[in-house]
Amino acid sequence: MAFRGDQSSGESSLEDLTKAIIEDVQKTPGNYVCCDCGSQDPTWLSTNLGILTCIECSGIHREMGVHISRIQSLELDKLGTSELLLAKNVGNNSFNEIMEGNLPTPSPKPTPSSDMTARKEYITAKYVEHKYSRKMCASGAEKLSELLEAVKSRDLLALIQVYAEGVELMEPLVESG
Amino acid sequence: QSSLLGVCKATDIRADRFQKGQLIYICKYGYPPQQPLPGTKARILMLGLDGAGKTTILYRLKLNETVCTNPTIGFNVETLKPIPNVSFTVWDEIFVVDSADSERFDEARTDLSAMMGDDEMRRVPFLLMANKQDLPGARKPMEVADVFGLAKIKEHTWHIQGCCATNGEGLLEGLEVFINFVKRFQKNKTCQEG
Repeated sequence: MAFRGDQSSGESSLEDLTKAIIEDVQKTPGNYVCCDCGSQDPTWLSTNLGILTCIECSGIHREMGVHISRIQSLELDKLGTSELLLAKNVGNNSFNEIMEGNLPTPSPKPTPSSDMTARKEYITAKYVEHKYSRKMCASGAEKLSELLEAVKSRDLLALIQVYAEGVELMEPLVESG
Repeated sequence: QSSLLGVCKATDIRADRFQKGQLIYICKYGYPPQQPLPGTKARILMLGLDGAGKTTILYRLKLNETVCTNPTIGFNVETLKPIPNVSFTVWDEIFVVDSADSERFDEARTDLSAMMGDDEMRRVPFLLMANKQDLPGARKPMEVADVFGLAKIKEHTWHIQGCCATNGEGLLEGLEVFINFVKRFQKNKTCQEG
């Protein structure tokens, strides 16, 4: 059901809104398949990364802990708009352009039939070690200035880029001058 | 006699149990409380938010190894080794919390107090497992107890146990204390009834 113009009162219109956002997220190019193994129609959302995974890969995400990835179900959980914010603005394609920008050949990516051990190995390398990510900055100072720039320009993908380069996003910003 | 440990997502419970104000969770999945599974007497219900580590605890207790778990849809049920002289009541409860996820403490606390406030749970002892103590940012069991306001709970005997399901630390210690609570609770109940 598309998002309708005739919004009725309070709660139901909010419910319609989240439903419409979820449908929109699922239709985003790249979100048709699991961000990690490529399984069809993923329904598990990492709310802090803004990506969709299959149930098997989501199990590994949960195991890493919520400081890395926070998993909720698009179908079984009741999600709020704040939890859908990153999903709406990031998505598997944009995320993988950065976090898988440096994949070796042959690709180490698991497939839908991979076992949990293979998934775990890949997902840990990708999300904990940032092993396959695209690197743009030469020095630590450059990373920090990129971080400052990303925050100032409110550019989410630029933020993911500095995160990919190992910048701790919880650290305080140092503004020069 | 063996003990039966069920695991489910708190959200599943909420759907049936609170809207209708009845404890019908187990019925839904085919184990009516009045008819225990053949050969089993003891039942523990392990509750907690999704991702708290319930399935991992279950299989750590059952197999003594870490299994890779996917989100549990519905529930898991396993029989554990018999515990001598203990027959659990239907609703003896272990509540699991992800100690590293302070953002969801409020949600977890609300669930726990809703369950404990239920009429059928009156005076039933419970164990709070402060899981994932190995993760960065994990709160210590005493901090979790503070956030959950356990000190103010007078209706129930409770125990909080820090643990790490992936390596098993704290699980048996917690269970041991809990089993003693259950024994005492049943003794008192029998005295009152008899």
